[in-house]
Amino acid sequence: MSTYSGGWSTQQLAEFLTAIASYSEQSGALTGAVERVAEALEAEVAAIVQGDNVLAAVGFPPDDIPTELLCRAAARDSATIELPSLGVCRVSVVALETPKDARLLVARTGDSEFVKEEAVLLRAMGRGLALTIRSLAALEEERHLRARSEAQSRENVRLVRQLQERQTLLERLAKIGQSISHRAPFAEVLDAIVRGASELVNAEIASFRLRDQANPDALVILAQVGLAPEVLADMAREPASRGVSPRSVAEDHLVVIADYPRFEGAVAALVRDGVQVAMAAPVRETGQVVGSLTVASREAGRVFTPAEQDTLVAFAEHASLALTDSKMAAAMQHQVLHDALTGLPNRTLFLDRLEHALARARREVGSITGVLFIDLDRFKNVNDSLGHEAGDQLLIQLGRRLRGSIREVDTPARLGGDEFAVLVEGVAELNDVIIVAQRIRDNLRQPVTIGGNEIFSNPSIGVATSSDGREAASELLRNADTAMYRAKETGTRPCVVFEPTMHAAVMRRLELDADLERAVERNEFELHYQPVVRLQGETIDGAEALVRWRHPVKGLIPPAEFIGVAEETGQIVPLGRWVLQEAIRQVGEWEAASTDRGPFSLSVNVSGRQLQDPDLIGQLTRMLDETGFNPAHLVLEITESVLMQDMTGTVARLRELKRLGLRLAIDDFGTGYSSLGYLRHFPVDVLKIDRTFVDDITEGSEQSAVARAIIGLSDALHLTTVAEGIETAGQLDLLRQLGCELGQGYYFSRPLLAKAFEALLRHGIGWKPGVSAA
Amino acid sequence: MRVGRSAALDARAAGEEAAGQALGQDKASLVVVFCSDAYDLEQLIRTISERSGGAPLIGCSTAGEIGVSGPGDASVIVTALGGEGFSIATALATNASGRLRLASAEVAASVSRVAERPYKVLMLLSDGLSGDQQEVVRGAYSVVGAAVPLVGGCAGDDLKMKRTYQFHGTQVVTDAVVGAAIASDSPMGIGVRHGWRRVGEPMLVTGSADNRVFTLDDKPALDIYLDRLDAPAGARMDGAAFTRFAITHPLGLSRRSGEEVRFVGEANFEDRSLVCIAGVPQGGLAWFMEGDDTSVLEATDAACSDALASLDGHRPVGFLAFDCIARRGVLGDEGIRREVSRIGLHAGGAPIAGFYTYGEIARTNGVSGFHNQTLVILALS
Repeated sequence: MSTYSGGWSTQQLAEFLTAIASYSEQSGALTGAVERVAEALEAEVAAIVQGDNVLAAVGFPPDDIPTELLCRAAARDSATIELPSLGVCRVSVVALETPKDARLLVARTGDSEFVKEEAVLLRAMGRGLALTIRSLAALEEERHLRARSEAQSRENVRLVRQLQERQTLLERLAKIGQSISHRAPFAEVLDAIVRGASELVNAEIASFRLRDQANPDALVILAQVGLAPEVLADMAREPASRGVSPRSVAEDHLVVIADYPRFEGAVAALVRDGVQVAMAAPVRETGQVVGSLTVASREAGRVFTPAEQDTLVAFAEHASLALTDSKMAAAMQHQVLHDALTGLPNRTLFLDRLEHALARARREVGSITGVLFIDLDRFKNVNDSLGHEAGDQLLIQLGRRLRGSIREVDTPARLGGDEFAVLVEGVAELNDVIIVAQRIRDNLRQPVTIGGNEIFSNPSIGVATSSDGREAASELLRNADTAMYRAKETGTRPCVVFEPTMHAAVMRRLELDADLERAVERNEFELHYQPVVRLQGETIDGAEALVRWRHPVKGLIPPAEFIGVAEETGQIVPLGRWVLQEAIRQVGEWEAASTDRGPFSLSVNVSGRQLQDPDLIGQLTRMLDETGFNPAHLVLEITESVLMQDMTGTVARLRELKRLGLRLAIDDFGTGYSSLGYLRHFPVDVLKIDRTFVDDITEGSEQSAVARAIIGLSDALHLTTVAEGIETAGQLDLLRQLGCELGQGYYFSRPLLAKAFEALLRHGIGWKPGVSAA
Repeated sequence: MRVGRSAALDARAAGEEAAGQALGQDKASLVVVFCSDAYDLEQLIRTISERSGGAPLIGCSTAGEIGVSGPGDASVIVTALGGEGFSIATALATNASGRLRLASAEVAASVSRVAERPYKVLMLLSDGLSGDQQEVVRGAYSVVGAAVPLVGGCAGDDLKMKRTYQFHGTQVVTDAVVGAAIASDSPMGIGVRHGWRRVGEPMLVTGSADNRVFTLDDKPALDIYLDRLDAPAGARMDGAAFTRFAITHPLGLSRRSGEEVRFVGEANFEDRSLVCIAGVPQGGLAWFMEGDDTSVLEATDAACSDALASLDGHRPVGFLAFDCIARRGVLGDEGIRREVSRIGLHAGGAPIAGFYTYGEIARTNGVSGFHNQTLVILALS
C-alpha cells in the first residue's frame, strides 16, 4: 500500500467522499460538503446554489449570506466574485447532477487561480456529492411516506371518535380505520365492515353493495356474511331494483323493513331463505350515494332497535369514509409508488419491498435475496434519433417484457431514465439469480418495433445478493448498480455479480479522471498502428491509429478505460488533437520514405465531443497545410452513435470536413439503432463492420446475413467496407466471398508501435514482431 | 497591553503579583490568564478577577507559560488589554466534548456583541483533550464567516494528558471552549508556521475515526508508528513515555499547499491505535515528520514576521504566542529560551505573553485553521 501514488487532490477526494458518506440527511450532507470543499481547496467560501437560492454556504455568518452575488456568479460561471469583507475572490463552479440544477461554487482570496487539478477535484467532489444526495433523497422520501401514513392514521382515529357512542363500536371502527390506514387491501376493509355490522347490530346477514360502474341501476355485492352461495346466485337472477338496498340508495336515507316477507319490493330469494327483517343505510363516496350497507335477520319477531339503527348508520358512514379514503389512497398509493410510464414499482416501493425481503431473509435462514440493476446501453440514441415518444414506447414495451421475464413473486421496478431493477426473493443460490438475469437479458435483447423501426436494446445487468439479509436495502441496490457499471464496461458478459473490490474500481475511475488531466499535459500517450489490409491479395492498404495511455505507475491503460472518461471531461479534445497531429506526422514520414509504394491511407477516430469542437476544421486545415499530407489519404472514423445525435447538425459538420478533401468512415457499423436507410443522409465513404458481426460469422448464420446486407448496401451506395476484428482464416475467407474489400484484426496483426509497424510495412503481412525481425 | 508574571507557589500570592504587574492602576478591557494546572485554580482566578475589578477574563491551564522574561513552568502569566481602542466580548460554552462544533459556535456568537470597529479577531481557548479540535474551528467559522480571523490554542496540563482547565470570569471549568471577540481600531496580525518536514515513505490511513487512527497501510497504527520510528523501549509500553516521544514525532497529512501536522498525543496499547489531537481522515496519506532546532527557530522568525506584516506599519503593542508543546520538545530548555527571546526581538520591546499548547488555532486564509506543532503569533497594535 505504501506504493500508493497520486497528488494531494486524490487524497482530498478520498477524504471528502469518506466524510460525506457519513451523513444521513440531505441538508447535513450539503452543509458538510461545502465545508469540506472549502477545506480541500483552501478557500474561504463554498456554496451550493439552486436558481435564486443558496442551499448551503460556508464563509459567512448565517444571517449575512450574499445570496444574490453567489447565485449570479454560479449561474454565469464567473471567474471572479467581489464579496463584502473579502474583496475580489477567484471562483470555480461546477454543475451538480443532484440536487436538480444546483451548482457548487468555491471562492478564494488571493492571487492563486484554480488550476486544472483543482477543477478536476471540484468536479469529482461534485459528482460524489450528487451520488450521496441522490441516495439520501430516496431515503428521505421513504421517511416522509412513513410519516404521512402516520398522520393519516391520526386523522382516522379522530374521525372515528366523532362517530362513536359505544366503546365496542369505537374499537371495531378503529380497527377498520387502522386497516384503512395500514393500506390493507380494499376487500379486507369491506370484509371488516360487514362483519362488524353483523356483530354489532346482531344480525346474521350483512352485505356491502356498490353501484356497478357498467350498469348504474344495479348494485353489486362486494362483501357479505350470512348468505349461502346458492342464495346469492338466486338473487342475481332477480331484477336489480328489488330489495331494501336499492330503496335506501334511491331515497338516500336509512330504510327499515320490519316484516320482510310482506315487503312489496322483497327479493324472493331472500324470502325463501327465511329473512324476517332487513335494513339498509346509504354509503357515499365523496358525498355521492354509491351503495348501501345492509343487514338482515332470519330470527322470527326480531326488531331493529333505534340504537341498532344508529349503529348501522354510523357504520355506513364509516364505510363511506373507507371507500373514499381507500379508493383515493389506492390511487394515490399507486401514483406515489409506481412509475407513471411503465406502471412498474418505482425506486421507493422497490426499496421498501427490498427492505422487507431482507428482514425476511434475516428470519429465514438459507435463502438468497438478489437485486438486479439493469441499464440499457445507448438508450439515449433512441431518444436522439427517433424522438422521446419512441423512447417512451420502448421503455413501456421493455417494462412489459421485464415483468414477463420474472416470477410473480419477484418485484420489477423502473428506477428512472433507462434504469430498471428486479428483486428476486427466496431462491436457493446465486445461480438462480443469474438464470433470471440471463432470461431478462435474452428477452430485452429481442428487437422492438416502434413506428416501423426495429430497435435493438442491449441491457447491462449488475447482480448483488444477500444471504443473511444483513445489508441495507440501499446498499444492496448500490452494489448492484456498481456491478452494472462493470458489466457495461466489459460489454460482453451477460451480467456481472458484485464483488466488494468494485467499489475500489469506482474510486479508481475518479482517480483516473484526475490522472488523465495530468496525462494530457505530460503527454503520457502513445500511438499504435493496426494495418488495414486489402482482403484480395492481403496487402497493406493503410493503418488505423489507436491511442494508448502509458501511465507512469499503472502501466498501459486500454482505451476502453479512459476514452469514456476523457469524453465526459472534455479531455478528449486536446487528446484527439494530439492523436491527429502525431498520426499525420508519422504516416507522412512513412509515405515520404517509400514513394514507390502506392497511396497509404490513415484512419483516425474522432469522438463526438471532438466533432462538436468548433476549432476542429481550422486545426485540421493547419495540420494538412503544414505537413503537406494528402487529405485524400486521411479517413476520419466516427461511431454510428455519434452520427445519431443531432442528425442535422452532424450532417452539416461532416459536409464541412468533407470539403477539406478527406474521407469519412462510420465505425462499429451495425451496433446502432436505425435502419440502414439513413446512411444516404451522411456524406460517408467507408463503412466499418463491427466486430460482433465478424466474431460469429459462419456460412448461413444470422451474422453473415447482416454482414452480407451491409456489404451489399455499401456496394449500392459505392462505399468501401472494412471488416473489423478478423481473427481466423475462416472469417477472412467468408468476408472475401461476400465481397468485403478491406479488413483488420489480429489475424493480420495486432496494433503495433510505430517502429514495429515500419518493419511490418517492409516485410508485409505475416511478419510477426520479434519473430523474424531480420 | 501589559503582562505580569509570578512563579509564587501560593495561588493568592501568585495571582496578586502577576495581576498587580499587569494591571497597575489601569482598568482592563480584557484579562487573559495562562497558568500551570498545579495551582489552586479557583483561588488564583478569584484573586486575579478581584484585582482587576471584575474585568472580563478568559484563560486556560498550560503545558508551560511564555512571558517576556522567557519560558517557564509552574507559573502564571496575566495579560491585561486596555484602552479606548478595544471593544471586547467574552463567552463560555461547557460540556463541549461530543458537541465541540456547537460549543464553539456558541462562543463565536460573542462577535456580534462587540462594537463596530474596523478590525476584529476571535480568540478561542479550548480543551484539547475533548475531541477533534478542528470542529472548534468549523463551529466558529460557521458563525463568523471569513471576515473575522480566528486565533488561539488548546489548554494543556503539563503533559499529563489527563484534564485541562478553562477560565471565564471567575469560573474554572474543564471540557469547555472560552473565547474573546476583540474589535480594534488598529490592525491585528496573525502569523502561523511549523518548521517540520516529511521523512520517509508516505502511508495510507486505512482505518481511522475522527482523531483516532487505527491502521496505517492496513497494519495496526501504533505498531507501524513505533517500528518505523524505532521508538525507545519505554515508549512501547508506558503512556507517559510514549507521549514524550510522540511530541517530537508528529504525523503530516497531504494538503493543497503542503502538509498539515498532527500531534500524536496518546497511544492505546490495547487496540494498538494512535490518538491525535485533531481528525486524521481515513483514505488520506500520512507521513512521519521531523524537525530540528534550526527549522523550528526559522519558523519562529517567519511567524513573527508574518504577524507584523499584517499590521500595515503600525507599531505592535504586544504579542500573544500560542506555541506547540512539541516544538518545546524539539528545542529543549535552552532552545525555547532562544525562541522566546527571538519573539521578544520581533516584538521590538512590546510585551509578550503566551503558553505551550496542545494544538493551535489560526485561521486567516481559507477555511482550515486548526494546527498542530505550530507557533501562532497574534500581534496587536
